[in-house]
Amino acid sequence: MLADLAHGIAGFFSVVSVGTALLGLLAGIVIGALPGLTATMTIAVLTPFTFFMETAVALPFLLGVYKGAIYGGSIPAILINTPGTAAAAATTMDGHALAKQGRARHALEMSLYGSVIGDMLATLVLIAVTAPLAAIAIKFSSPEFTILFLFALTMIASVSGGSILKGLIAAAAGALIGCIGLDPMSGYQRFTFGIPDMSGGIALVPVLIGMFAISEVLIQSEKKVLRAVSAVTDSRGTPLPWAEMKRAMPAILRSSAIGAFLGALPGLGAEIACWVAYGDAKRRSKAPGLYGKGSLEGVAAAETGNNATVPATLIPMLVFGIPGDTVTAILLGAFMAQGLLPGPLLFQQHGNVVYGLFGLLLLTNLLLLVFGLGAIRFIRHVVLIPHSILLPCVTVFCFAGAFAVSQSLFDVLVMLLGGFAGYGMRKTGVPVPPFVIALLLASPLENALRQSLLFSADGAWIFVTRPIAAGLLALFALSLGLVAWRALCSRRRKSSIVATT
Amino acid sequence: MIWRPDRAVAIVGATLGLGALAAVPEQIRGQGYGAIADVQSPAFFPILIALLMVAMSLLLMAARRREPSKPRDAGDETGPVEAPRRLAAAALCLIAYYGALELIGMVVASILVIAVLALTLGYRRYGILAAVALALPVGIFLAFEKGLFVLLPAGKLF
Repeated sequence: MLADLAHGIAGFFSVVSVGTALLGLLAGIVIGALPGLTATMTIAVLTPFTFFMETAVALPFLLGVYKGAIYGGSIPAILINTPGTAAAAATTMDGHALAKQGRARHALEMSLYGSVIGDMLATLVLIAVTAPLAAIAIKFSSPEFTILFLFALTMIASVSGGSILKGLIAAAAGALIGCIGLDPMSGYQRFTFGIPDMSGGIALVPVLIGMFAISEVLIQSEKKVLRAVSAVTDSRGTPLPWAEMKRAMPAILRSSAIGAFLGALPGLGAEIACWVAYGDAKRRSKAPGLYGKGSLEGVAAAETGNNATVPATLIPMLVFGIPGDTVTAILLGAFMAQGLLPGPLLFQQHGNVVYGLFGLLLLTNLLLLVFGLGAIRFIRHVVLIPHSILLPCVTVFCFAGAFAVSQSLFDVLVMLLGGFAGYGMRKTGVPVPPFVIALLLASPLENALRQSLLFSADGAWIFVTRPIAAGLLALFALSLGLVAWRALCSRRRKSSIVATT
Repeated sequence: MIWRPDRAVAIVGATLGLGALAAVPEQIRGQGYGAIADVQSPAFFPILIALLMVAMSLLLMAARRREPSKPRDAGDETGPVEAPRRLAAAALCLIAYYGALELIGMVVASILVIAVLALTLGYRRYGILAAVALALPVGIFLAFEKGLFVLLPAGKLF
């Protein structure tokens, strides 16, 4: 494995690839620091720019953006009590309280060190587990992939919103849209309504840009007051004492493990990991009373937890071709645009690229440490850029990016419709992630399902007669049961609260 | 504030599912609903998904009838629109921007949309706005056309 890593680094590393990773990292930190601009939105808007770049330039840039944006979200969370990204929501609990006590620099540095350590440890997990998992996954056939795709979709639908049914409806809608275009087996056209632009199907990237960026423009536009921030807390002061860092180390290590584990599961991204890690740290803390009032341990746990998910979300994407969350769904699209098809064969066909990227992930961590420290001093003004000028600029990037995908105005129209649909979904509480991931997985799921049934002598029994498929099905059923049970408990609890009030 | 969007979601979901089912014979070359039993048919998967969608929409409708409506959580995006006029203006700007791309081209349309949308959203520092509205579209144009060699929409008028 170390030899593969060294080989990948030697083959993939260049001044240009490291430079673009650094550029992505800086762009990610700055954009992530702007409240309201999420990591998903940032990557969705910037992805079309990479379609025309070489692989060694495009992918390091996007991974740098991803990493930078997740970390950047903590800066406004601490300085102005507004998380730059949803993943930094837990950081506001203690980060801003510390800033108000004049300890903003301590909070920002703790957030940075936690982010770097969590990310580094999770990257090592990624490097250690992906190749062995890919060696197992290569034995998978259509029935196993059918169950895996269904498992991923059901999990994402179940955990990404308040209502499982709404999540499943969103997933079904995404899969239906994914059916537009040519049938993968017979080549017949489906649901094209005589429109030539639809015969190739609906392009993923314009939909993603619309759903995440244009819908955000609309959501922000409807607010009475557009992000009124009166003052930013001063981020200067004394550096973080080593004793504080040492005290937070157990929480950082546990949060790294939590983030890496949750990130590897479909649907559970940084937004959930930060709260789970924060809750766990509070439960085990010697000073739980400080949480919410200015605990450095709390900042460390939340930031370590969310950053540790970044490398971990790449595990299901690289090994099975299943995006664990919306960011990896976009990254999957970027990989495919570069001619790289994530899945077990990726390690055989493009092992040098994969290991080169692993090396870059480790390197960008060190760069994050260096440039993050710089950002702490200089980025406090960025967080105050008003939405009223930011959103029109984002809109222009969205339109240019959507057009650039295939230089078609039809894609711009798709983006616009996706934006309005995304707005409607967000206003009615329908989660967007199941929709976009189903759109992406519709074709492979259909292929796997139809091939399984076609080559099966016993119909649907093929899913239980093959040992690996049966094992996965049992896991799937167990997870579904668990989700249903939790939903039932939650509904009973809510009903009893309503009854008592 | 009581807000019950679930019924709307169920109705839209069921309509989409039924619409897809209704479109099958016309939109998937002569395939009938019997295709659900034939995995080789191009209509097999769409019918399956559309049926699932209708079923889940009906389940949502039934589930919400039994459940009491609940107040909105803080930070919840659902619920009534706070500034409907501004939202409508922003939506119109986006639609007009799309329409203008073909007519006046990416650069001029972008300059206009930045200015109009920023003013709609309440930005009033005119000097900065003028600088951003001019610099960003030109910058994007140069990055795409000269850097990445990707053509952006050119207008009929400009």
